[in-house]
Amino acid sequence: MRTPNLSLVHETVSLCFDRVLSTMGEITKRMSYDFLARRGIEKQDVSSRFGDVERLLVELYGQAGRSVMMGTLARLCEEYSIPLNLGYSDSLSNRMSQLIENILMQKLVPKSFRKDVETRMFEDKTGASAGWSD
Amino acid sequence: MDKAEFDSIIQVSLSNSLRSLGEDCLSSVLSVLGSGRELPVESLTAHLGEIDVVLNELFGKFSTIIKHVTILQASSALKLDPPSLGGSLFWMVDELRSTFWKAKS
Repeated sequence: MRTPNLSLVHETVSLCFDRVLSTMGEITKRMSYDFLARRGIEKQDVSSRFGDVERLLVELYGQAGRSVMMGTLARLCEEYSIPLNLGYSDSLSNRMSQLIENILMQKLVPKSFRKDVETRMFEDKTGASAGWSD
Repeated sequence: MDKAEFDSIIQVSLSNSLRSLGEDCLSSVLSVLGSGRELPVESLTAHLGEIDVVLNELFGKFSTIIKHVTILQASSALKLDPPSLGGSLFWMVDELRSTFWKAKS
């Protein structure tokens, strides 16, 4: 199994961000990505530029835009089975840095990645399609 | 852990979610719930049915995210798997409460 590294964390943050945007509908999601891209932030940059994304979404949607970043953090914690505890930090951006540090130090692996690996291992071993995969 | 502690975890999770949006967001919700008079934060869980309506009114489609964050935080604090994430905080809390009692018994 691949060791947990920063690029896997970044991929997982992007995935969580995308899932949160999806809860608001395809049009809002597309508009948000377009807006961020016009300001020089691509999908894969969400983790490394978390503070900038937060600032831009607040600019676009007002304070409620911050909920997208909160949702991203909450889903990230769910993926890595760690507590969110929003009260532990004075800003969402700082909480994200703390969480990433925690994930890397504890060498945690996200649930979705574990499931992918288990599916591949099962399919390689049996030559059959895993019933739980799409 | 009893009912009061469960309610306290829901209250802390919801108030943390609202505070993280901005300090005045929690005050706004408490004020709307109290019809202009700010309610004490401890009374949040006594108004779960109304909170759904208030969050929808104040935050529109973002309210779903706020509700999901609240439930994910509370589930983590209770060390339980989160219920399926839907649009009603009231029903998600109800489902979590049911899981909580099943895990206890």
